Amino acid sequence: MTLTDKVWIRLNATRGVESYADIDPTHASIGCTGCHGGLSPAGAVDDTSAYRTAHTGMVRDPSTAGREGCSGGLCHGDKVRRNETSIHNQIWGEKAHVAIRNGYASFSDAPEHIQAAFATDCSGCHTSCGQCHVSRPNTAGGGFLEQRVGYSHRFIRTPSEENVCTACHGSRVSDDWNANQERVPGNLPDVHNEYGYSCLDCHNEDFHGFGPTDVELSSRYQVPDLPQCIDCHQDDRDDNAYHRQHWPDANADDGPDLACYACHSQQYNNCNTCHAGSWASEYESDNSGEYRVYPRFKLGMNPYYAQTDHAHNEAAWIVVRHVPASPDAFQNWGISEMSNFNAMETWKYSSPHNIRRWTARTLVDSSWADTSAQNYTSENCSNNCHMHGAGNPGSLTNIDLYLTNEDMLSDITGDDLSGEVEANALTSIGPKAGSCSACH
Amino acid sequence: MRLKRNLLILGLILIVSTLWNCDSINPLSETGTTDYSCEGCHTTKAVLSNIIDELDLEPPEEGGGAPG
Repeated sequence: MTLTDKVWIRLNATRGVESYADIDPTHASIGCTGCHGGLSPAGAVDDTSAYRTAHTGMVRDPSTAGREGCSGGLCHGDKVRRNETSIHNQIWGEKAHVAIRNGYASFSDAPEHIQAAFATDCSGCHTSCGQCHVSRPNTAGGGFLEQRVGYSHRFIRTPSEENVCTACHGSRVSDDWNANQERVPGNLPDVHNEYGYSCLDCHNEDFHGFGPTDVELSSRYQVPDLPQCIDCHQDDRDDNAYHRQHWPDANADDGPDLACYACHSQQYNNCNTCHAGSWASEYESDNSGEYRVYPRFKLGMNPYYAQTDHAHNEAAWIVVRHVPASPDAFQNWGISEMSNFNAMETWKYSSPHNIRRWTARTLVDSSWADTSAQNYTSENCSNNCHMHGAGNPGSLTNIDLYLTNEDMLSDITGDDLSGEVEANALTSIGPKAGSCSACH
Repeated sequence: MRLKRNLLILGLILIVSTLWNCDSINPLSETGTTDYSCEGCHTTKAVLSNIIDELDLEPPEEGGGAPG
């Protein structure tokens, strides 16, 4: 999108759109300068001098002013107040990880230089009212959400998936959701995407946050009302033998509990070794740079299984994704190695947005996809998921589906991640040699 | 045929000359501006392009490459 297109409000008199007041009469009544400030260009001698005068002191994104912005006149006061502490605005999960891995109980306990560095390198990803409801987020390049006549600079209550949600959540959501063949070759789009669902069909939690208690969040999985598969699929529990055996209900008596993703997600994006402030220069699309992105699928163990004080505790076996952390990730901040790096996993609980009914785990027999009469037998269980075999544990069938310590000693990219073995002690099934005991 | 072409050219000249300068079409909030206004410029593509080119304003960041 050109810079002109980003800031051009399209009118069309023949369609009754003669001024901004015809696009958004409510906000037009405030007037441009009522929100954006700037000086009157009256008396300017040409277009460029008018531009210079009008933009003197202009605020490009008034909504970043918080309570001085969109809640002025008490219009959106409640939402603006909640948004100030929301996880979307404050990225509490990242703050918690930065703090804990550096040996501080919370982000507010971290020293000023860490908080300042975070503000510079990490907070750029947070967004404002206007960057969802008027324009694309700055990190996605900005520009009005809608280019059509009658819609540019219109305040849009429900922003589009493409221009807002996946414009920011690109790699770990969009690539999976849309099956970007450059990143996850061979994948199919998420079945919900294929059937026309969009982000907000499932994510109906309040993105503006829930108030001051949001400060306590250390993960997005703690956000109240986060969607779960069973919100729609509760009735599927008894529709086949695998579901009955493995339904995630934090009750091991009816068989090991598996997250839905363990069977129904495809390979997904993983990342290695991103450094604060320098990721762009480290990234090469062919993975030759220091910051690497690659497809992978790994089953791991849920550290919080059946612990009711944790969200998402129902599944013993989960899908884990490698996140781009490393002990020296904050070298640019003067931290050579994080003092408490191993306090948080680097292969983390994940919910890949690439769900299919038939995956490399569930399509035990290629004929199953074309029939409604699947023959579920215990023998079939071993085909695609369960480890089995004799001799060297490293050669067990299906062992590579599971996260083991060996995955960290030399991972798929050739990186030595052995420093992360301790961090993943609870999600890894341990060394391959001891893999049988993970289940038996 | 020639008449039709001349009328077309005349029409184009009229449109360009009408749109070239920012006009005041947001009088509710900008009563003091007679020749230039926020809305006048931001609804006129030719003016926006002219200003951006003339001042060599920053090219748009395309974004989308963030690790996200």
